[in-house]
Amino acid sequence: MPVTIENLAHVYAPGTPFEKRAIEKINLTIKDGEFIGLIGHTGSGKSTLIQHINALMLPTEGKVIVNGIDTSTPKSGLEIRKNVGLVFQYPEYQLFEETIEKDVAFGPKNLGIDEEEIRKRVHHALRLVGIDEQLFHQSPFDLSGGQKRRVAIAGVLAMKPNILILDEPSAGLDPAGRAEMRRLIKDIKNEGTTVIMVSHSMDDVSKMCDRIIVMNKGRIALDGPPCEVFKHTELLESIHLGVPAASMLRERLNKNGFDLPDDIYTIEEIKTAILEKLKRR
Amino acid sequence: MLNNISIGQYFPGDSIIHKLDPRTKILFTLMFIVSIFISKGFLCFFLIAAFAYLCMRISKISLKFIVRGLKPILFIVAFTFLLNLFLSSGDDVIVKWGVLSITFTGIRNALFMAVRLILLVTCTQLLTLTTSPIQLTDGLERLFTPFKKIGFPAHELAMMMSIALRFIPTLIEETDKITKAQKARGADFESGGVIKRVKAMIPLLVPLFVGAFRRADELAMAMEARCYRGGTGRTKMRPLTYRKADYCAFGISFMLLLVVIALNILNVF
Amino acid sequence: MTWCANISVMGFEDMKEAIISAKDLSFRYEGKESYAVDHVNIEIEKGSFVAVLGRNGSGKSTFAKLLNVLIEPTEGEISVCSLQPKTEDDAFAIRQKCGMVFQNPDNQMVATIVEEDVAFGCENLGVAPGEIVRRVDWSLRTVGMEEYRKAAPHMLSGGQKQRIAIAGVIAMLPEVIVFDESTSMLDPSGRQDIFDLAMRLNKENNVTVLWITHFMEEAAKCDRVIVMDQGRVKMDGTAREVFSDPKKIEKFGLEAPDMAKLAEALRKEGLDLKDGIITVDEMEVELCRLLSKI
Repeated sequence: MPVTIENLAHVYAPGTPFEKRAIEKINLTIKDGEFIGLIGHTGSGKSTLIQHINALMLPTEGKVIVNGIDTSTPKSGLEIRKNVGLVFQYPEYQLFEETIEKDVAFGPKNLGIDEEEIRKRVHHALRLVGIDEQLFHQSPFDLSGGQKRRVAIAGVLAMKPNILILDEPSAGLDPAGRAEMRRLIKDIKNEGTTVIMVSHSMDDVSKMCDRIIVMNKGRIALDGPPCEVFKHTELLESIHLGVPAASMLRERLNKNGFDLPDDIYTIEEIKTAILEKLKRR
Repeated sequence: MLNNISIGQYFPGDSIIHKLDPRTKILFTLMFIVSIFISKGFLCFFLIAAFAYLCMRISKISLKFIVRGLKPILFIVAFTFLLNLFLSSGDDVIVKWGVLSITFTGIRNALFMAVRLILLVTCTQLLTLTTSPIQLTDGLERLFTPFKKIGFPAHELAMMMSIALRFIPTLIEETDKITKAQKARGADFESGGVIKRVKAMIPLLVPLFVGAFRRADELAMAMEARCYRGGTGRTKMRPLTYRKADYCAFGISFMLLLVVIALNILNVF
Repeated sequence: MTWCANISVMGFEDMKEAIISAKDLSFRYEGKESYAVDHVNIEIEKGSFVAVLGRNGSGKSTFAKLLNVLIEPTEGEISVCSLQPKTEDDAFAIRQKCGMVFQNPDNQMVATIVEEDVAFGCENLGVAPGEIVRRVDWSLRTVGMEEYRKAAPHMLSGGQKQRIAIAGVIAMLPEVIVFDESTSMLDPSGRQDIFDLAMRLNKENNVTVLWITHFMEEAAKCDRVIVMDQGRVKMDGTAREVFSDPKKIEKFGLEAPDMAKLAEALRKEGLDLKDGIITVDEMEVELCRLLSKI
């Protein structure tokens, strides 16, 4: 279910004094099974970009093609949203049904699937996000914040998207909640879903993704595997995106003559490299 | 992009009229309205219209804004006009189709009612165009303060109004977000009959209400943390004070009312 | 490091004047069996910058609300700036001395214009109009938002809204400000801005700061770190003391900073690193020292 984006640009309120070019000349191909971290500042255009991938927004210029369908094709919205799931920031604020089970069933129902299949999908999705079966018939509003968020994610998972986009899935969670969210997203990815995760947190992205896209001022600034992207510490800092602590330490140590390989970005890697350097004598 | 929502139709400026105390402007508008209602003829209307035009020029508001503001009531104006045109009784019949007839009295009545409506809306528009909603709230609060003694909750109402004004953009933004989130889950807000559409609103309305109550709860706590305990003992950063210009404006508007009354008594139309 | 809640006061022998002190402070929500805040004994020194950590539901936000008398203790005593909340008027006085900045920037702004919002607290206190104008000017300048004084709140970014919330609090001239997860909804640069601003208020205006957070990197920069769990104070000491044992703090649902974890791992491999490394700077210095020895 590949996604191809060609020369995409989006302009808000064109022709008015409030005209704003949100994204510009985006070219991107997303292959099946990739785990992409999309990172950038507020206003860098990342939200605009992800909404184009599931046809909530249509291009002002250029094309977005999802699984061979151009998103600008009239009436293609539902077909595309069936394939591309989008979980917005703070998704717990979209819950509305009387029971958790019904809420999760909302998406698949809209796809016109038969009851039995819906039930199967709902249960699978809820189990995947770690919601206990005893809770299925309770009101989603009685859950804790973290649980609500997981139910909301299940609501999108139950539509069985081939591509799942998550906007800041761990925003506002405590460290344990963040760790659990990381585990959950890895599980989703392991089921074969392509995942695009929008994040502010370099640490989260560096721990999980196998491709990182950095956006700045509506354009793609960097795109590659983490070990490549985190080589550009200066560029990343100049656009006020931190680098993982390990990359920063590598940079500092190298200035002091450590001479560590410049594709290091995890704690594990830098530990090995430091030991090698210091124990070599 | 919902970032440029403006509430009301306030047109910022620094004319004398903009700077008047909101209470003055409210009373001024009241005088206008009373004058319009007691006017019996077109001469009075002409006088009031000329006066309104003068105010408009002083406050540097272009006619365009006033005309734009009239658009929503155009239908009502046309309806009133036609109703009066055909249903006024009189002997001076011009045309007649069955029960419907057009008389000179009818034409006069129709024009009179239409002009009256247009003038009424224009004058209130002058108030809302030159006074920000927050000033308006302030002015109303102060005007109603004397009625607190008989239990009228002037401060509370003003506070409610200003909080409502503050949260309208926030809630519009939230509506937009929830709409998108539900659309991403395959919700369809656009097609189907009335019942289907109303039903389709539930996934939007429930989260919106839940969210509004959550916000209300948090806001109440934040206000309490900042020492809010109702209107008693509160001061204002910019307390309203009448200046010379306010007294003058009040005098002028009172004169207008007197002239209109005089014209009516003298039966000069 | 001081350990359990009940003896924490003893840990600071040369304690300066305490601006906040809690004795057996407890709070139980109606209909709940367990305490949200469970017999906490704590003193906060005037002028200090203290981080409060803990997982969701550990009682840290409830503790903050007790400080501001938004809720009243079920048991025990709390005193803020030598005031105890016995009457409504005491509560009012405490709220002036101890300001609070909340999590959601949208839900703590009352007015449609920035300067009106900043003035809100002062107006409630009954400050004279001329003085309010002076304080609002000063507050907006202090938080670097003077050019936005006439702006509408919904046109501002999250970080800017939080600055306005802070301006509204400092205009009331408080001695303590409690930040209840005030950065959790902001992006990294907004987060940094607000933290730096709190630091500045602490250093330059001698405001005592209680910084409740989920971000360990922020806590690592504070004078003192208090870890709460199940309503009790579980750890209390300098950031260095608290974070130097990654295993222990993980038990309370927290995560040690990456450098503390790295230091731990390197020590296990036999490197002779000094204790208490938590930042990249410290790690750099230590490793360079080791390299020069070779």
